[in-house]
Amino acid sequence: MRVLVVDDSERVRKTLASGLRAHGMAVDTAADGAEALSLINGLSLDLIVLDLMMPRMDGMQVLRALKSKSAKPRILVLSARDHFQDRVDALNLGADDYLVKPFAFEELLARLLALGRRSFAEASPDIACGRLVLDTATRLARVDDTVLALTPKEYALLELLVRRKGHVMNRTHIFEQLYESDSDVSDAVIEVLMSTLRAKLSRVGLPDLIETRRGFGYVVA
Amino acid sequence: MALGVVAGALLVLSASFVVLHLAIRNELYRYLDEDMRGQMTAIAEYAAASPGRERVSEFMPQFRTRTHQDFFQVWDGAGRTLARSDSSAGRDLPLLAAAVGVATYHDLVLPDGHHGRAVSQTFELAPDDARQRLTVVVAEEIENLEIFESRIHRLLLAIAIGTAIAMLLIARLAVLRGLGPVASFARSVESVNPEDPQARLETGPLPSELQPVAVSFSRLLDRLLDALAREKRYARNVAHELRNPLAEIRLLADVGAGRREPDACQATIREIGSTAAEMEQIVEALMALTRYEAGLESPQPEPVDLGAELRRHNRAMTAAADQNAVSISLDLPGEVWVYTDSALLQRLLANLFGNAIAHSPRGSTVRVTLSPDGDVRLTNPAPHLEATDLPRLGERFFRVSHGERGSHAGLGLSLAAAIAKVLRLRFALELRDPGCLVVSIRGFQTLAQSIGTAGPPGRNWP
Repeated sequence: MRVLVVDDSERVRKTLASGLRAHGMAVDTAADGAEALSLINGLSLDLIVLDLMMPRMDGMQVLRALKSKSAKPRILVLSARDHFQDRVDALNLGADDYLVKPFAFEELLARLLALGRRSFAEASPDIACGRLVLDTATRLARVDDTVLALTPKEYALLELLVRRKGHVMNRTHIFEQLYESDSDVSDAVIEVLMSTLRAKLSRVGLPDLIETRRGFGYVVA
Repeated sequence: MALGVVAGALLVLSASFVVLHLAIRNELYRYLDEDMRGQMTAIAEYAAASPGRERVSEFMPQFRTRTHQDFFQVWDGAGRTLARSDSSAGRDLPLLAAAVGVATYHDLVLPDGHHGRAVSQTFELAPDDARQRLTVVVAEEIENLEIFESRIHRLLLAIAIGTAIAMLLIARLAVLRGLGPVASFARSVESVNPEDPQARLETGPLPSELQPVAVSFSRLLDRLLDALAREKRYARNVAHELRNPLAEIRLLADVGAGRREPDACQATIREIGSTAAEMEQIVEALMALTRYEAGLESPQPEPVDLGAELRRHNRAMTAAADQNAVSISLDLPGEVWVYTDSALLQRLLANLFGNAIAHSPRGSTVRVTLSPDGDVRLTNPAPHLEATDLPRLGERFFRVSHGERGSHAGLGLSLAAAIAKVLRLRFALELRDPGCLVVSIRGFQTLAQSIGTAGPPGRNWP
């Protein structure tokens, strides 16, 4: 899942990005609404964590700018403003959720995962794909009763492909979903991730879960 | 209130009734006594002048038999009856105590059994008169007078009761009419909603006599509402401004708890400490700002060398300036003595220096100038500021973003503006090309102005 964190506090941006990355998310950051809008227009994002009080362009202005867009990421407003009218205004302007600062990171994470599930119209945090079951709440992958020991990036890759079952995804697209825009690594890392993931799937009897379509990309059939 | 007015009026009426009763009774009896004394004198003079012919009834018809209301009797010095009125029908009046030359009045029962009043006096006769002296008693029945007096009393009582009832009604009506606007004003006061910042009292319908009271009360209420709004604003701002560092601390703790590397843990703890320190500064600044805005700080002016203060702040801020790679340039005359509160001035300058250093780009210079008249000016590059930001720069929670150091500049500047207001200085912000923020403070009272002399102060000032 690719997340954009928009907050004028550098400390919040960095810490939140670090925490979300540790859970396998690709995180980009923006210090104000204007920078956020330029990133939203240029990236394929799943979620936005949006502060309201920011210089230049505040969160409400970002929501207004995005309101008319038919396809847009899910937006969670994260603000110190706790008045009910602020929540009502933000939700009426298109925010999908509202969390007041200070907050528990686990709650933010849970809400983001819930928003992610809503994007894929999933009623349950469990996604089943044959013998494989992904628990998107705990971010665990099971095959029968065996829990796969996946790194956050491997889990994120597996979840991405399972959620888009039947859809071929090329390396670049996968990279954009798993890594932030200012990442130092090249998209060749996807090949490495794919090989380690396949090796772990092979050990539990699913060597062919992820197919390679030469010249097109990867797919969970 | 109406009952109080009526009770007071009843008391006055009762006292008036008693006074009137006594006055009327006294007047009636005085008139009666005068009349009887005149008759007594006439009878005595006639009897004295006509020895053996004291039949007064012949020329004083009121003493004839038919009347049965007026009586008299005359005795000589030996106590023999010389004459009596025909109306006495042969019965004697009592020989009442009498003094020579002085009329004495008596209440008595007349020979016919009715209540009466009498006057008696002894008259000395000529030495050769065998009667020696005359004692005359004139009496008059007073039952008709008592009936008349009783009628007057009843009439007075009826008037008093009628007046009391009328006063009760009038007083009640007057009180209701008089206090009607006050009641309306009370309803207006009750309808004021302290949650509504625009709430104001309606003083229009009040009579002119009550307008000053209402206006004073309305002003008091305005001040109370302003104070309440200020407290609520403060509480809201504090709550809001503290949530950000609290969120940072909690986020750092939550995310840092999942880290195993000692270096990362130490870095997290340092970050938490820095955030807590920033939070402490915010709380301290907010409390100071509230004190200044509430007028709880009164300046204690003393002679201060502005040039020396600016140089001292320059030295104090060197470390912070070095940390941000910002230099400070001073353009100061030797000494500029002003009359101001030293502690508040230090806080004002510390805020301005701190603000300029914190928001200047790395490698830039903060310029500080001081004119001989005591005008202070701090200029710092502010490429992140736009003209539209300027009106909001004084807002305490206005945030500006510049590169990696996004923070709220508004708090420091609003604190400086509040202190300047307490010190009665003119505080101005100006954005000059190319992207320079100029903060100027004018209006310092120079020492020469304060002591009314034009000469420069010497070096002996403290």
